[in-house]
Amino acid sequence: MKDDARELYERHGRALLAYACALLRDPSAAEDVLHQVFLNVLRGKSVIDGEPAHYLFRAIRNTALNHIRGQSKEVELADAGIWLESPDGSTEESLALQSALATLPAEQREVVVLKIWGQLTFEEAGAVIGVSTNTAASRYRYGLEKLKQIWKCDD
Amino acid sequence: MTEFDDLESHLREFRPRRPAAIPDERLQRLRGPIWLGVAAGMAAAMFIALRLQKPAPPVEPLPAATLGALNALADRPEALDAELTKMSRTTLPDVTQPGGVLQSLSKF
Repeated sequence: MKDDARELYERHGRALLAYACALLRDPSAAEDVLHQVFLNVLRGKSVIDGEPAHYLFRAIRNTALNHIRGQSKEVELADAGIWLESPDGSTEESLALQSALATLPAEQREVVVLKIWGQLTFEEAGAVIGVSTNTAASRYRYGLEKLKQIWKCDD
Repeated sequence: MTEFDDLESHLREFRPRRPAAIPDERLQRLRGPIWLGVAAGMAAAMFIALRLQKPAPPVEPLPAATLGALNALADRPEALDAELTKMSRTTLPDVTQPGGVLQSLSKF
Protein backbone atom coordinates (compact mmCIF):
# COMPACT_ATOMS: atom_id res chain seq x y z
CA MET A 1 0.00 0.00 0.00
CA LYS A 2 2.80 2.38 0.95
CA ASP A 3 4.67 1.60 -2.24
CA ASP A 4 1.48 2.11 -4.22
CA ALA A 5 0.92 5.49 -2.58
CA ARG A 6 4.50 6.56 -3.21
CA GLU A 7 4.22 5.47 -6.81
CA LEU A 8 1.03 7.49 -7.18
CA TYR A 9 2.82 10.44 -5.63
CA GLU A 10 5.62 10.12 -8.16
CA ARG A 11 3.22 9.78 -11.05
CA HIS A 12 0.60 12.37 -10.16
CA GLY A 13 2.34 14.62 -7.64
CA ARG A 14 3.08 17.42 -10.08
CA ALA A 15 -0.44 17.59 -11.51
CA LEU A 16 -2.02 17.32 -8.07
CA LEU A 17 0.19 20.10 -6.77
CA ALA A 18 -0.74 22.25 -9.77
CA TYR A 19 -4.41 21.61 -9.05
CA ALA A 20 -4.00 22.51 -5.39
CA CYS A 21 -2.14 25.67 -6.42
CA ALA A 22 -4.95 26.59 -8.80
CA LEU A 23 -7.42 26.27 -5.95
CA LEU A 24 -5.38 27.88 -3.21
CA ARG A 25 -3.03 30.17 -5.16
CA ASP A 26 -0.48 29.57 -2.46
CA PRO A 27 2.16 26.95 -3.37
CA SER A 28 3.18 26.43 0.22
CA ALA A 29 -0.37 25.77 1.42
CA ALA A 30 -0.95 23.68 -1.70
CA GLU A 31 1.99 21.44 -0.84
CA ASP A 32 0.67 21.04 2.70
CA VAL A 33 -2.68 19.96 1.29
CA LEU A 34 -0.99 17.49 -1.05
CA HIS A 35 1.02 16.00 1.81
CA GLN A 36 -2.04 15.80 4.01
CA VAL A 37 -3.92 13.83 1.36
CA PHE A 38 -1.07 11.38 0.89
CA LEU A 39 -0.37 11.00 4.60
CA ASN A 40 -4.03 10.12 5.09
CA VAL A 41 -3.66 7.45 2.42
CA LEU A 42 -0.41 6.14 3.91
CA ARG A 43 -1.95 5.96 7.39
CA GLY A 44 -4.99 4.16 6.07
CA LYS A 45 -7.31 7.01 7.07
CA SER A 46 -8.40 7.34 3.45
CA VAL A 47 -9.07 4.44 1.17
CA ILE A 48 -8.72 4.98 -2.53
CA ASP A 49 -11.79 3.81 -4.36
CA GLY A 50 -12.11 3.81 -8.11
CA GLU A 51 -9.52 5.31 -10.37
CA PRO A 52 -6.69 6.53 -8.09
CA ALA A 53 -6.00 9.74 -10.03
CA HIS A 54 -9.65 10.78 -9.94
CA TYR A 55 -9.87 9.97 -6.26
CA LEU A 56 -6.73 11.99 -5.54
CA PHE A 57 -7.93 15.03 -7.48
CA ARG A 58 -11.20 14.90 -5.55
CA ALA A 59 -9.35 14.53 -2.25
CA ILE A 60 -7.13 17.49 -3.12
CA ARG A 61 -10.21 19.56 -3.93
CA ASN A 62 -12.00 18.69 -0.69
CA THR A 63 -8.93 19.26 1.46
CA ALA A 64 -8.12 22.55 -0.29
CA LEU A 65 -11.70 23.79 0.14
CA ASN A 66 -11.58 22.85 3.82
CA HIS A 67 -8.33 24.76 4.08
CA ILE A 68 -9.92 27.83 2.49
CA ARG A 69 -12.90 27.58 4.83
CA GLY A 70 -10.57 27.41 7.79
CA GLN A 71 -8.79 30.58 6.78
CA SER A 72 -9.74 34.01 7.97
CA LYS A 73 -11.82 35.79 5.37
CA GLU A 74 -9.66 38.85 5.75
CA VAL A 75 -6.57 36.96 4.65
CA GLU A 76 -5.85 37.65 1.01
CA LEU A 77 -4.80 34.68 -1.02
CA ALA A 78 -1.42 35.57 -2.43
CA ASP A 79 0.58 34.13 -5.27
CA ALA A 80 3.88 33.26 -3.72
CA GLY A 81 6.41 31.21 -5.60
CA ILE A 82 6.46 29.38 -8.86
CA TRP A 83 4.40 26.29 -9.36
CA LEU A 84 4.50 26.13 -13.15
CA GLU A 85 7.93 25.82 -14.69
CA SER A 86 8.36 27.37 -18.12
CA PRO A 87 10.09 25.27 -20.79
CA ASP A 88 13.10 27.59 -20.89
CA GLY A 89 13.21 28.06 -17.14
CA SER A 90 12.17 31.69 -17.35
CA THR A 91 10.78 32.97 -14.08
CA GLU A 92 9.04 35.86 -15.83
CA GLU A 93 7.13 33.52 -18.16
CA SER A 94 6.09 31.32 -15.27
CA LEU A 95 4.86 34.25 -13.27
CA ALA A 96 3.08 35.71 -16.30
CA LEU A 97 1.17 32.48 -16.85
CA GLN A 98 0.41 32.10 -13.16
CA SER A 99 -0.93 35.63 -12.92
CA ALA A 100 -2.95 35.12 -16.11
CA LEU A 101 -4.44 31.98 -14.58
CA ALA A 102 -5.12 33.87 -11.38
CA THR A 103 -7.38 36.29 -13.26
CA LEU A 104 -9.69 33.45 -14.29
CA PRO A 105 -12.69 32.70 -12.14
CA ALA A 106 -11.85 29.79 -9.83
CA GLU A 107 -14.28 27.40 -11.51
CA GLN A 108 -12.70 28.03 -14.91
CA ARG A 109 -9.17 27.90 -13.57
CA GLU A 110 -9.63 24.51 -11.96
CA VAL A 111 -11.03 22.93 -15.13
CA VAL A 112 -8.17 24.35 -17.18
CA VAL A 113 -5.64 22.88 -14.77
CA LEU A 114 -7.40 19.53 -14.57
CA LYS A 115 -7.56 19.30 -18.36
CA ILE A 116 -4.15 20.67 -19.30
CA TRP A 117 -1.90 19.39 -16.52
CA GLY A 118 -4.10 16.74 -14.95
CA GLN A 119 -4.81 15.32 -18.41
CA LEU A 120 -8.38 14.52 -17.46
CA THR A 121 -11.22 14.35 -19.91
CA PHE A 122 -14.17 16.72 -19.50
CA GLU A 123 -16.17 13.85 -18.10
CA GLU A 124 -13.48 13.06 -15.54
CA ALA A 125 -12.95 16.72 -14.66
CA GLY A 126 -16.70 17.13 -14.26
CA ALA A 127 -16.78 14.14 -11.92
CA VAL A 128 -13.98 15.59 -9.79
CA ILE A 129 -15.69 18.97 -9.51
CA GLY A 130 -19.21 17.61 -9.32
CA VAL A 131 -20.61 19.17 -12.49
CA SER A 132 -21.79 17.78 -15.81
CA THR A 133 -19.45 17.11 -18.69
CA ASN A 134 -20.99 19.98 -20.66
CA THR A 135 -20.50 22.41 -17.80
CA ALA A 136 -16.88 21.38 -17.43
CA ALA A 137 -16.35 21.80 -21.18
CA SER A 138 -17.93 25.23 -21.30
CA ARG A 139 -15.98 26.44 -18.26
CA TYR A 140 -12.84 25.24 -19.98
CA ARG A 141 -13.71 27.04 -23.20
CA TYR A 142 -14.46 30.31 -21.43
CA GLY A 143 -11.29 29.93 -19.41
CA LEU A 144 -9.11 29.40 -22.45
CA GLU A 145 -10.74 32.31 -24.30
CA LYS A 146 -9.95 34.62 -21.45
CA LEU A 147 -6.48 33.21 -21.06
CA LYS A 148 -5.81 33.75 -24.76
CA GLN A 149 -6.80 37.41 -24.53
CA ILE A 150 -4.77 38.02 -21.40
CA TRP A 151 -1.73 36.23 -22.68
CA LYS A 152 -1.85 38.14 -25.97
CA CYS A 153 -1.73 41.35 -23.99
CA ASP A 154 1.12 40.04 -21.88
CA ASP A 155 3.16 38.91 -24.88
CA MET B 1 -11.76 22.97 -30.09
CA THR B 2 -9.09 23.52 -32.75
CA GLU B 3 -9.06 27.26 -32.13
CA PHE B 4 -7.30 26.53 -28.85
CA ASP B 5 -4.83 23.94 -30.12
CA ASP B 6 -1.88 26.32 -30.16
CA LEU B 7 -2.72 27.71 -26.76
CA GLU B 8 -3.18 24.23 -25.29
CA SER B 9 0.11 22.97 -26.62
CA HIS B 10 1.83 26.13 -25.40
CA LEU B 11 0.31 25.65 -21.95
CA ARG B 12 1.39 22.01 -21.88
CA GLU B 13 4.98 23.12 -22.38
CA PHE B 14 4.81 24.48 -18.87
CA ARG B 15 5.34 21.79 -16.30
CA PRO B 16 4.02 21.85 -12.76
CA ARG B 17 6.90 21.82 -10.37
CA ARG B 18 7.76 18.67 -8.50
CA PRO B 19 6.39 18.69 -4.98
CA ALA B 20 8.68 18.08 -2.04
CA ALA B 21 8.84 14.52 -0.76
CA ILE B 22 6.06 13.38 1.55
CA PRO B 23 7.17 14.08 5.11
CA ASP B 24 8.44 10.94 6.77
CA GLU B 25 5.42 9.19 8.16
CA ARG B 26 7.29 7.95 11.21
CA LEU B 27 8.42 11.49 12.00
CA GLN B 28 4.85 12.69 11.64
CA ARG B 29 3.73 10.00 14.06
CA LEU B 30 6.53 10.84 16.44
CA ARG B 31 5.77 14.54 16.40
CA GLY B 32 3.15 14.23 19.13
CA PRO B 33 5.21 12.01 21.47
CA ILE B 34 8.29 14.19 20.88
CA TRP B 35 6.42 17.26 22.10
CA LEU B 36 5.04 15.31 25.01
CA GLY B 37 8.57 14.18 25.89
CA VAL B 38 9.90 17.72 25.68
CA ALA B 39 7.09 19.01 27.89
CA ALA B 40 7.61 16.21 30.41
CA GLY B 41 11.37 16.91 30.43
CA MET B 42 10.80 20.60 31.08
CA ALA B 43 8.36 19.82 33.86
CA ALA B 44 10.86 17.39 35.44
CA ALA B 45 13.67 19.97 35.20
CA MET B 46 11.51 22.61 36.86
CA PHE B 47 10.51 20.15 39.60
CA ILE B 48 14.14 19.22 40.30
CA ALA B 49 15.21 22.87 40.28
CA LEU B 50 12.49 23.70 42.78
CA ARG B 51 13.46 20.78 45.00
CA LEU B 52 17.15 21.76 44.95
CA GLN B 53 16.41 25.35 45.75
CA LYS B 54 17.32 26.26 49.37
CA PRO B 55 14.28 26.96 51.44
CA ALA B 56 13.78 30.64 52.04
CA PRO B 57 14.70 31.79 55.56
CA PRO B 58 11.68 32.10 57.76
CA VAL B 59 10.29 35.57 57.70
CA GLU B 60 10.10 37.14 61.10
CA PRO B 61 6.76 38.67 61.73
CA LEU B 62 6.80 42.42 61.65
CA PRO B 63 6.58 44.00 65.07
CA ALA B 64 3.30 45.66 65.52
CA ALA B 65 3.85 49.35 64.92
CA THR B 66 1.10 51.23 66.48
CA LEU B 67 0.69 54.93 66.79
CA GLY B 68 0.28 54.46 70.52
CA ALA B 69 3.62 52.66 70.84
CA LEU B 70 5.39 55.41 68.89
CA ASN B 71 3.65 58.09 70.94
CA ALA B 72 5.01 56.46 74.05
CA LEU B 73 8.51 56.96 72.68
CA ALA B 74 7.92 60.57 71.67
CA ASP B 75 9.73 61.98 74.68
CA ARG B 76 12.75 59.67 74.07
CA PRO B 77 14.22 60.67 70.67
CA GLU B 78 16.95 57.99 70.68
CA ALA B 79 14.46 55.23 71.42
CA LEU B 80 12.04 56.58 68.80
CA ASP B 81 14.84 56.80 66.25
CA ALA B 82 15.95 53.23 67.04
CA GLU B 83 12.39 51.96 66.74
CA LEU B 84 11.87 53.71 63.40
CA THR B 85 15.19 52.34 62.09
CA LYS B 86 14.19 48.84 63.15
CA MET B 87 10.86 49.22 61.39
CA SER B 88 12.40 50.61 58.22
CA ARG B 89 14.83 47.67 58.02
CA THR B 90 11.95 45.27 57.82
CA THR B 91 9.92 47.31 55.36
CA LEU B 92 12.47 49.04 53.09
CA PRO B 93 15.21 47.50 50.91
CA ASP B 94 18.53 47.23 52.74
CA VAL B 95 21.21 49.07 50.74
CA THR B 96 23.94 47.70 53.01
CA GLN B 97 23.09 44.03 52.49
CA PRO B 98 26.23 42.31 51.08
CA GLY B 99 25.85 41.19 47.47
CA GLY B 100 22.59 43.04 47.09
CA VAL B 101 21.66 44.90 43.93
CA LEU B 102 21.13 48.14 45.82
CA GLN B 103 24.57 47.89 47.37
CA SER B 104 26.14 47.38 43.93
CA LEU B 105 24.21 50.30 42.50
CA SER B 106 25.12 52.53 45.43
CA LYS B 107 28.78 52.29 44.38
CA PHE B 108 28.14 54.09 41.07
